[in-house]
Amino acid sequence: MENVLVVKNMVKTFKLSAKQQKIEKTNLKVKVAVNDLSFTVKKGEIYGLLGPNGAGKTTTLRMLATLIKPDSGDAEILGKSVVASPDEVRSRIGFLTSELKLEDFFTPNYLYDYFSALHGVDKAVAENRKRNLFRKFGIDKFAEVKIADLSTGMKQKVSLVISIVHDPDFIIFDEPTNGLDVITARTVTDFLLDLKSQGKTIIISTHIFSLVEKICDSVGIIINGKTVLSGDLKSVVGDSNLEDVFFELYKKEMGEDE
Amino acid sequence: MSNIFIIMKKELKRFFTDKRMLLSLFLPGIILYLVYSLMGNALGGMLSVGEGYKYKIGINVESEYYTDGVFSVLEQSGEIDFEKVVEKDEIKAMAMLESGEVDIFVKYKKGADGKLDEFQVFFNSVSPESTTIYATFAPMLSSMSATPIFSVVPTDTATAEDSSMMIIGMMLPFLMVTFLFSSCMAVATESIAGEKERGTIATLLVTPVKRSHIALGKVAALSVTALASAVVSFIAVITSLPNLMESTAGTGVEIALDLGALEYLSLFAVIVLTVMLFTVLLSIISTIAKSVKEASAYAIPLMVVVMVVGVSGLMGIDFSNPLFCLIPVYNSIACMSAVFAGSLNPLALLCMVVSNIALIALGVFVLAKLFSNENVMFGK
Repeated sequence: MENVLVVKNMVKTFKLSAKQQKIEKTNLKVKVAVNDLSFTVKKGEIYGLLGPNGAGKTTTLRMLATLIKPDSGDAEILGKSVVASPDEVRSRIGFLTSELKLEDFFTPNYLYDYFSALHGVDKAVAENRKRNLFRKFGIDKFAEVKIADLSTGMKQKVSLVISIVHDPDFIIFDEPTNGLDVITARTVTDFLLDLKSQGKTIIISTHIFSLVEKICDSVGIIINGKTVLSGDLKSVVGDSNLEDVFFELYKKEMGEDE
Repeated sequence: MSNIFIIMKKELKRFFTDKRMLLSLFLPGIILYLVYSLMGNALGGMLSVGEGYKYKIGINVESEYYTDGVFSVLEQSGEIDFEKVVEKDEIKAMAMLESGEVDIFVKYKKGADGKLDEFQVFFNSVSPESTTIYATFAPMLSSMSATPIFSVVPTDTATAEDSSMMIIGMMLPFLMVTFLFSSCMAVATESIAGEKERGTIATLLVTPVKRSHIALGKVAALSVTALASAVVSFIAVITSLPNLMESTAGTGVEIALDLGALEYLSLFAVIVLTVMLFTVLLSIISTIAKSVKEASAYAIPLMVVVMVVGVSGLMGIDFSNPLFCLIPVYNSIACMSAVFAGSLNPLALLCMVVSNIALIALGVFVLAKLFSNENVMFGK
């Protein structure tokens, strides 16, 4: 299988303000969020980026979505560099996170058309896709209700649909089931599997072991901004289970640090 | 290019279909209309001549012989009540005019060496009594002096500080710039800082749309919106102005509202460019700010600068050197004043246009840079 995502030695640091230094109890002016990260994702798989809070998962995904630039290193998505051609990368990916909000003032219908137009999707194609997606997620009944008046779950569904108006081949999803009730969470995971069956490649970040075990083909364990393990889920877990594997690595990694 | 248009359309929909937003955009204009009309009526009442007022007409001794005819005509008509005051001392007469002891002063001067004899009619344009009696008396004197030996020279004795009305007239461009700024501020902070605060701008930033297109689309939409709001304020001023101006009739405060097509075009260009400049500047501020509140706070120093430059433009309008019109804000006020006064220098307008377009282009460039700066867009 070909690699559709190749991450090569990505590094990302953030400057810490005096206040942040105090909170983090450090004298260092710079915090290394992602430290020489490398991994690959194969076409058509769901890749789970697993790690504790603050490990650098979200930073990594944001770099892949070209919202922020790596200090050094690069990543290629479908053959395009996130550093050299961010616009092209953005036109090929769908990025979803709870941080991406929709404007309360508009309706799902309007926003869908708006983002379709911005992605340059042909009108007839967009209309067709919208009908299918809205029906699939039950948005059709709320198509003309302002975002402000929708429930949290419905908002999440609308965001989801809008992030894939351009039918991207590569989907980045930050914490897909965070803050969702069990029913919406199930809709989301079913949707990811559905996308996979259409031949799309998906990378998700999560700290939930069961989610990885349920839907991911491959997993990358990231601790302190480094990939400590990456590979096929079966070969990573072996006879053990993911949680045990993770904690073993975690202890080792934290022990080294101390 | 089409993306700019798509973003612009959405922004306009946002502003023009939101009742609350519309209210905040157009309420200032409505309030302004009411305030101006009320102010005009109040001033009008203050500045009209009371009924049964006895006009005091001052003359010098030499003119008595000639003005007697006018006085008898006035007396016969019985339309106004008046009193003749003969004053020998010209300096004293001027002081009396200033203090209101006489309402006008007519001075006869014999023409020397073949020049015409002349009447100098002194009046005070700030005093309604003075202007009213002047308007009656001077034409009568004129008709009498139709014989080629006389001419009538009106002389306004109003001092600059008296002419408060004149200042209101002059303030129109300054008020205009203030409205433009405040409407730009309302929409720019909401559209950019507001979107950042609510996290909706990130959704736009993950689309393949170029940052410069986002910046341009926003600036265009914000300019149109701010312009619409400013136009409402402007119309409010213009329509309430007759009320205000009525009270200043004959005081020499002439605002040429019957402008020609070229003047309107110039005015429109000046207003549009001013709005766009403000929008760009406020957009930059709103992009740097993390919230609407912060953006409004940052905008205040800019507002002070605009005010200060605006006032200096108001006080010392210098048309002698059109290069002064390269200074932003100052040039807006100077050009608008010149249009109202009917004396716009094409070179000054050109300087204004070039300077503003250059600044707007630079601003959009900076804005696009800011939009692609992750610390600015996502910094916590």
